[in-house]
Amino acid sequence: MYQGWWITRWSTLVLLGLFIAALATRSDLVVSRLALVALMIVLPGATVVGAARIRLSTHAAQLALVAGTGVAVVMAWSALSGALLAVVGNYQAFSTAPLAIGIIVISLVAAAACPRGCDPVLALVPSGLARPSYVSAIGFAVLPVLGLVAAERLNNRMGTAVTYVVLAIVAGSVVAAVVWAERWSLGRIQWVLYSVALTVVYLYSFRSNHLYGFDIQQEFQRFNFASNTGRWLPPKNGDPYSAMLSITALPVAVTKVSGLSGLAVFKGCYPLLLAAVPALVLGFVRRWLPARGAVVAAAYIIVLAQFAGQLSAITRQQVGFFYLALLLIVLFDAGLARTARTVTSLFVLAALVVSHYTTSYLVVQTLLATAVGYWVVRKVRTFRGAENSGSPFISGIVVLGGIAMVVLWDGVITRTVKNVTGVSTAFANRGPGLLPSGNGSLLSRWLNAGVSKTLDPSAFYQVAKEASTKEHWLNPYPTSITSAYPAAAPTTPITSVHGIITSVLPLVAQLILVAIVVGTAIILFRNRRTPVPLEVAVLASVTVALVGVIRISGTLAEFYNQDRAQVQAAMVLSVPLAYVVTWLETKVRAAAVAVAVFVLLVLFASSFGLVGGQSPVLNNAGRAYDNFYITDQDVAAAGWLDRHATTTGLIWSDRYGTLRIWAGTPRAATNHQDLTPATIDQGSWVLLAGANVAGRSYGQIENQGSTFATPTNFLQDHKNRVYSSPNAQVYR
Amino acid sequence: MSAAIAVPELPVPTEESDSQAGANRRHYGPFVAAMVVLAALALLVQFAGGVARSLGATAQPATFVALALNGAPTVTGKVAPSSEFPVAFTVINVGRASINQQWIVTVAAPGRAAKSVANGSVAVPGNGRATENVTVTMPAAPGTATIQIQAPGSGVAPLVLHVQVASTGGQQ
Repeated sequence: MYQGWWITRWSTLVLLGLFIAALATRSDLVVSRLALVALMIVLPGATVVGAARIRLSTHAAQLALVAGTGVAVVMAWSALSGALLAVVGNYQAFSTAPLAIGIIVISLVAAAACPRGCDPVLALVPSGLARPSYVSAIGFAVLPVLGLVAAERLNNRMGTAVTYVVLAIVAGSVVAAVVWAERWSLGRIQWVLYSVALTVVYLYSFRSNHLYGFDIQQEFQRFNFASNTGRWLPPKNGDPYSAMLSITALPVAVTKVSGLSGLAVFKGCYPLLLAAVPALVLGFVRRWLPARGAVVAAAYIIVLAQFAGQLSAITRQQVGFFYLALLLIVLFDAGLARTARTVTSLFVLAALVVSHYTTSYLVVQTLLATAVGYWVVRKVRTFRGAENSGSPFISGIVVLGGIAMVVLWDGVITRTVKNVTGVSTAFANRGPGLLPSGNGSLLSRWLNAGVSKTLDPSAFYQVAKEASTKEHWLNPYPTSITSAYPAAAPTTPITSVHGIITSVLPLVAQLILVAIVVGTAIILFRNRRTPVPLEVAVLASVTVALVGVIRISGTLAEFYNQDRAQVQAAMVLSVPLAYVVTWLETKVRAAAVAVAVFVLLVLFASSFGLVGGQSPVLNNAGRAYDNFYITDQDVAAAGWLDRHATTTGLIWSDRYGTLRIWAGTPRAATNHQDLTPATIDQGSWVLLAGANVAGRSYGQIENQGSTFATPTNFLQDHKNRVYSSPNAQVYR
Repeated sequence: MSAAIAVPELPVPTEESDSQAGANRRHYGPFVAAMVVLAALALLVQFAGGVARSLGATAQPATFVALALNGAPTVTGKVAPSSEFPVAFTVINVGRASINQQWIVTVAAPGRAAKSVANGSVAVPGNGRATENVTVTMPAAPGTATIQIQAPGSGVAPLVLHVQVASTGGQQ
């Protein structure tokens, strides 16, 4: 009996009906807005994947592909609709109607193109779960909400009890996943890892009533600019932030369609993508290696301090890393037909290229180096008379397609290649700058690579003064005045971590590094005795080399933060790490598990300030709190300053006062950050944020940083205090 | 260092494995269950707002008072000795409740202690602002005089204005 396609796809149509109903009512209900966000991603994602007839090997991978496709479709339509609507007139593309209608039409057309009898939404639902699985699934769905509550309670100065409970559950869940890795299903462990990853990211992203972090302030400004412009346009000034659709076209579409605020999207929605990375990495490693090693390698990413601490504040890279993890899953999915794999890989690669430029540069280079390296290895094996396995996972089409997309997007469409040209110029001028940190031994320079040099306040004042001599327009105060205000250390210094953890941490970090290098060597040189494909071993070797170069080259490190490079590399290097853990387990079973758990817990405890220091997830104090926690008073002061200073008015603050200006005003340029008496212009405005008013200021010139006492006496004696709230001030 | 490691067995679905209506039917139960759970959670989120606020589980805006000097971009200049100097400032109330804020204006002649020259109280509505205008008689002695505007009890550091008192004449 013939059934119309609308009958066999009833759940898709029900959700589409809900989407339209929620849009039509445009309710202020939070629930309605959250539902719109979910539906605007799931509907186009599920239907397009269904129409393309792509089925990945695991349920989690399929869900990730649907989410990634949905995000890519929304991002593309949001960007393209501006160009299309420009043809018919000067229509505001970034408004609800065109964005929502596009999503509905795409979903309907794709649903109609799905195979007969297939309901693309129903296909996402697991066909049957045991009752305990339902309970744990719901429990782990609630955990990130607890993380959010913990962060908000700390914001409201209501204590850290909930935070400690959340951290205990997170640590316990990671340990349980490692211990019961062989007993739990892959899907269950992936859900646990997703939940704990999202929870730890929320502990950071929901700190402050404003956005928490550095880069995210600039990203939010570009989002606001795009939203106000009315459509996405390639930047005319080569600004790479404005070129990235992940922080412009995507959030504008989400806010316009759902009615959620940009703040809510940046704090709550982007982490949903980042949190998928460890779970996807687990699926990637599990292709070839047993569960325990794979879980340890995936959990390692979560307990890295920079995963939640840094990436929660870099939204473009949250999207970029999600697509990178998805790319690895798709590229090496042996269950996919070759053509389907190539096309899907190119699609994911395209989404990555428009989402984050640096991630895409490194991915394309890595793919190219791997393809060439694997081709050479195969030739050598052929020469030796050995047999090669089937065709490579990384095809020439994918590599060339990736290069073409980077060139087209970054070079031709958005003209944002200044990062690449900057690297070339820096290399030409300064060389690689091998191990630049300090003058210590080779070992200490290796260990401290990427750590900025700390200057005492007097030295910083001197460096700042020397740097300011290049500013010929500067009208500084006479030396007779400024010399009366010498540099001083803050009277309330920041608590730092001491004790055994400071000795254990570098040891643990280097131990993991050794394990990864040894594991990479084994899967490469003794590949036949391992289940890991040779091509993956080559990929891991290329990644190790890349991380090594970034680690030892000060020049390169200036262009790509080493901590973030480590997370990016960890996605691939989880394979050799898991291999070593697995090998250890075959030799010393219980001891290997105990060591793995110990290492994960040490890293976890250190990352979240459980062993000293002042972590921002547990304290309303500490360096990170001073720097990145923006208060309502900071924003009010910055906003007042913006309204009263002319657009060309000179503004001074310390290094992190700039974040308050970005957060509270449309001013996108970096203001002057050398807050020392000898370098402040006589006619300038000065913003003091909360930490500055409390007596602590932070400065950084190139790779040299310092913490020093705010020159409050100088400001009080020689400038007028024209705005004052309990924790923020403006001087003129 | 290498060992025989078992390759995991993962389900690799065949193409179109879910293209049968029968396969769809297996998903009906979980789909409906998921919808019911999501709807229940949604209702909980929507109507537990009051409880969440009382538990400090939602973002709560800060409450504070700020002082701002009017005409701040043009505060530099010189004045004649003993001249009348107009000062305007705004009390900003960030918070729902209206407040009654006291204020005091002091002037310190060069090398002298500060002296109160005006004071008062102003009612400021919730999330509002109120402007006060005061005229200050500047000291007769030349040099830098310091005008301070204080808001006692608000926790706000006073506004500080340095004004050059000319030896003779002068212009604001």
